[in-house]
Amino acid sequence: MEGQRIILAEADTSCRSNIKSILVKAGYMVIGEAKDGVTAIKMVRSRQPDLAIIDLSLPGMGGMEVAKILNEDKLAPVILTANSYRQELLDKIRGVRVQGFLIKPLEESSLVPAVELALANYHEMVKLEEKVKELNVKLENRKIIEKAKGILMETMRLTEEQAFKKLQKQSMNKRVSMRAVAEAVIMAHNLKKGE
Amino acid sequence: MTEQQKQEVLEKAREAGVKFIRLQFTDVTGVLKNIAITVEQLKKALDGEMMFDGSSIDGFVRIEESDMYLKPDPSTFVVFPWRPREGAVARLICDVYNPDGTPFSGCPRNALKRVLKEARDMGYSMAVGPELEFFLFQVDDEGKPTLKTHDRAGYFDMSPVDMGENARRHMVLTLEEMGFEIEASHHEVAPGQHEIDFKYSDALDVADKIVTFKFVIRTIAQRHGLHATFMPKPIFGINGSGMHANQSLITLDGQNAFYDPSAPEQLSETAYQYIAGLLKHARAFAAVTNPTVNSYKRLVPGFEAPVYLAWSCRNRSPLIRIPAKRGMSTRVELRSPDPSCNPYLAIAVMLKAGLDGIKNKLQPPSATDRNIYEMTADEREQLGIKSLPSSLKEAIDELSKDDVIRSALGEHIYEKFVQAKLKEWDDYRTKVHPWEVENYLTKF
Repeated sequence: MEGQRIILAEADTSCRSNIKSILVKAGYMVIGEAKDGVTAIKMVRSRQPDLAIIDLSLPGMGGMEVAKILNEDKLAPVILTANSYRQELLDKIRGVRVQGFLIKPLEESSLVPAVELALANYHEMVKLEEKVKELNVKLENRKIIEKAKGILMETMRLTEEQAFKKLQKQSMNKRVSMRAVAEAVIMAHNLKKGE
Repeated sequence: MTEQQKQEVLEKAREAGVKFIRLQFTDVTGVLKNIAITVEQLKKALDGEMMFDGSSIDGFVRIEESDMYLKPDPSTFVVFPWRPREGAVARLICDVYNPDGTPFSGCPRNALKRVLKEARDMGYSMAVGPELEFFLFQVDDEGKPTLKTHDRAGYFDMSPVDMGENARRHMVLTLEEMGFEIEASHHEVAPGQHEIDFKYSDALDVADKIVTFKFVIRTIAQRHGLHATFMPKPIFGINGSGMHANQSLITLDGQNAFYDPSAPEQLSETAYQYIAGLLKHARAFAAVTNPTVNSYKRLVPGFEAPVYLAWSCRNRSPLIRIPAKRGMSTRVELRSPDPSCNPYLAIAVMLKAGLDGIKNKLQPPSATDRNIYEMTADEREQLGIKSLPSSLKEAIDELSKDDVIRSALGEHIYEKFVQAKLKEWDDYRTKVHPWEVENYLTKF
């Protein structure tokens, strides 16, 4: 995916220029370079890159914290870099859900495939997350409508189909969602019950 | 807490995939304390069986009486929106109880509840609408807060983005997700200063919301690489941050007790008495509504902060302003409090002062519709206009002389509060400040 916009956060100047040259050569655009965590966060927020490559040992706000925020606020996929590899580090990184973890020094042969995979996986993940969210809302709506239907069937002695039609008709007449009608039915029912 | 409420909280926690819950309460100075539990312990916590060591909290108890219990308020359950869906984190605000099941007298939330009950016994509930101001500052490379408001890194983006505006938008969205109704959000007079107002509500709910608000603002700021501060006067020479408190009493049948369409200014007798009560005790409750050394650097003439004990329906210079809206919106705006206060205690003392005015049928002096800042000291004296304390020490002295305000805090909180504040004052008093060095080092 050529032309993708990348932000690079790395305290070490020579290391940064090395990574940058690999990326540029491979056709990516490096749209920002940060030497510390706070600057990295601000840069990502204002420039909205397609990917951030973040070193663990940034001064101020550490790379792990930056990666966590980028992930939680869904700002960009992250590839973390570090000088060495330790098991406990891996355990921590697992909790942050980054798209990649590379040990320096970085070579073209390892960096470019990692970037490509991170970009592809992240797009897929975002799509899936949206789908899950949509399904959850649908499920939630259905639960509430079912409950309201039950109340109507019980209190007005309707069949399931009649109850559903009633909710649907109200929804159309009042120009609000079925869910809103169902919520109102449930609330009115609970109020009565409370008396 | 009913069994049904408990079940509702447990269900909400399950649905949101909550893994950790923070049980929150404030110490006497208003610092938010957290005890983190896992979702497996939530049921036990809801049953009021979570114990903690009270001696580890400033101004609570001594070591030998340290077992305290937390009773969560189920209506305060909320999931932090900035944490991930899997492994979400939620919080519950708690009251602190003694092992024998009685409310702990050192818990600020209990103190507010006590005064609210007193109001209810007189036939009122209290509604509060706060206006909180705060500053957003840059942090340096090391992550330490600075006093810089503008980004000197000089971002050369396509569109000039104000980092503060972005962060504030995110704050508003987050607060809304947590159930706040945001009424206004804007840039303030001073550079880097912001204000976010949320809808007035029942006093206890508002105190909970203020505590939550401060914590959310700080968290989101940090996630934008900024530092948010509620310090009352961070920079000399520009406006400080206040927490104007709009307040009204609602009768048990839901009417605004301050509104009387037939009276002069359409303000009821009760409203006048409430105003008189606030004015009478303003010098004493300042220690609670403005509890830091720095608070008194905000309360100086020239920066839109009040100094003089007066009220008006028109001008904005006095301590108390009556906004023009009437009907259910009739309210008294006290302009002195600042956001460094403990909101539970601040609301408790304001309400107590107002109730004292009603109980003793106090009458306020006539309204001051002239700009007090343009009066001379003699003119003010003739009109009997006093001023707020000029330092934390003076405020503490005033507090110690006022039994009504002391009783709102309760003896336990009063003692711990004064102890902590005198220590703070002494620490400040004995330090040598840059101003002194600047003025005396070469002169003497």
